[in-house]
Amino acid sequence: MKIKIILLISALIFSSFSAKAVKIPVIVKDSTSPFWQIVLDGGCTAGVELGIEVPLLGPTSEADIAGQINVLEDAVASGADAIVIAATSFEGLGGPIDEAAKSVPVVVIDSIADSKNHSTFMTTNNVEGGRMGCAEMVRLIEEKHGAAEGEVAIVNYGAGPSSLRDRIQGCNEVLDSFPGIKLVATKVGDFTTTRQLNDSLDLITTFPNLRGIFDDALFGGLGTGQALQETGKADDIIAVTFDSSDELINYINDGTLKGLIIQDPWGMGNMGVKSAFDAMNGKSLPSFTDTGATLVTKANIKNPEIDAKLNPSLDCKP
Amino acid sequence: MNLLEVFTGPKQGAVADPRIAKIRSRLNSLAVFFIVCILWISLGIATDTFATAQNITNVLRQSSLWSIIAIGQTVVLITAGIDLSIGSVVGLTSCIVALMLNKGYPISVSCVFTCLCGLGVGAVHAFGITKGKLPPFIMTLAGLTTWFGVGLLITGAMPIGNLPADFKAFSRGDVLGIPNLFLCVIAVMIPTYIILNHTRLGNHLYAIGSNRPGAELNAVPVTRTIYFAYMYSSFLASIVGILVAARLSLGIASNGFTWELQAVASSVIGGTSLFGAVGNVFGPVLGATVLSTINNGANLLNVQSYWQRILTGVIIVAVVFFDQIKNKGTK
Repeated sequence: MKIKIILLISALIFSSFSAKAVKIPVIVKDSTSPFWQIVLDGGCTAGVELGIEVPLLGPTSEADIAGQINVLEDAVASGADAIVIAATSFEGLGGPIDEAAKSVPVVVIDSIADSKNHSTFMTTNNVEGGRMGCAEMVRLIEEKHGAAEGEVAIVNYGAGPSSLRDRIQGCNEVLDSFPGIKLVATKVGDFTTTRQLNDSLDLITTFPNLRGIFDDALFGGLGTGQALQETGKADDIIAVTFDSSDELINYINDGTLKGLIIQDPWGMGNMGVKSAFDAMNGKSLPSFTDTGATLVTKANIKNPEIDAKLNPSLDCKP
Repeated sequence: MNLLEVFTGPKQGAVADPRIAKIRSRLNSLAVFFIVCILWISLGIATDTFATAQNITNVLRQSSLWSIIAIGQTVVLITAGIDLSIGSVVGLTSCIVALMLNKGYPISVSCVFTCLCGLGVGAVHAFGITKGKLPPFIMTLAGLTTWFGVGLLITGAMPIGNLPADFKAFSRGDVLGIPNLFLCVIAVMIPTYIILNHTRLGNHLYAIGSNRPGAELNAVPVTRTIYFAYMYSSFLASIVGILVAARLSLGIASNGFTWELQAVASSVIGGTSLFGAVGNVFGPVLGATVLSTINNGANLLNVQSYWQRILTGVIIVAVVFFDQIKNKGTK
């Protein structure tokens, strides 16, 4: 009897609660990564600003595509009013996002899926980010060796996400435009830092004349930086990587890495939730919004504008 | 001592003669040793980069972490158990040591406390297996997800970086050209070798794996021995947690993700039996070296990484298959 009363009361509380508050969950790819923590903080802040509920969700590994589909389905089932999601897989999340979009507006951030029915797609133009990174790598090779020529390699964090594919595509476009630059290998990882470290070490061993490495993700950059430190090759090999963390900032300051391409993850989460709110209220949105990419080097890292992007305050309390 | 048992294994239901079990596992290790030699010689011929000091150092560093957890896994496998929690324990302990270092505790204190946590984790597993009568597979599977969750919880799912330079330097350093990480493997092998081969505890581990009811009848302290096996495995996982945090300069719950499977694979390739009572300290180290060499060799040959995984699977099946043929052929 007691249990029944408790159940009844909690059901009442729950239903009145969910009836009142607008709920827009943000589903990221990997809730353990600082990049996604920043996205979530941006989303959380938008929730506070709009006075709505923003549950922060996501699997604990970018490789867990099935896990993210479950999170998405559960979010729709639990009565979300709109959804903000970054797809772990272009193909894998296409169907589930189409399915979810039948009941609620879906705003896709960072990585798109193979779906046509999302309200808008807001992201870094990753092709442009890849171009930016590899253009800087080639520019520094030219500066150091007097000509844009020599062997370079790409280290890919893992197969699947469209954002990584786009970065590599952008990088390849730049590399192709320099006939003297020879891409000797593209290593495909398994979404772990250890793997990226080992792959980078083996690249450095296999190609003693290697002049540049482009790594397309945060934890990959940590592996590449560590490999350059272990082998003492930081002066010979110009490495440019994607995204930032305290450790990567140290690597820029001590010269281990020559450049970071950073995005605006906070803005992505914040604008994502606001756009989802607009879509929910029937406003029409542009199909694509570029949230921007920036090159960070030892020269500009102290710049206040860059510093604010590198050290966003993660203090949102819903 | 019935010498035929060297080839056939113990009779069904009989307590294995530990001496013969040891000879059997040494024969297996010898076979894997030849596989390593063949791999190294062929890679030395096929590439001019494999047999360089820098690359051998790389391979040793790469294999060290897997070797240590595989030794722990082997001790558990000898008792006919399995430890599926290893990867998560590596991740959790990498978080613990990184958090303590970030809070300003000295390196020694942080490492000792982290190892104590490792022992505690193993004791929890052993408690569930002995008192709770849970199958080791289930108990450590539960550990796999639980300890990963605890790792996420204590770090707020954030990676812990900015570790002290002295701490990081250890993983990069060497003594007379031998990487520190590989010296850790040797430091783990020596006591493990002594325990398995020259102590009553070692005999008890094999006896439990060979025939548990028989061992109980023969007054083997089963509970205490099982506690030892799981605590030892988690203890070694916590050492690897410390080493991986030092090497990557990163404490994160996903460190060691799926390494429990690398530990099982290394152990099995090294001739350890999943059914207990067969295994020694050299097997897992050789097995881990095979796995690392495949990865490194494929990279040096610039073969796409997909092949490394396929090849690893083929080698696991081949090693166990030939091991079984050898046994069946003489039965």
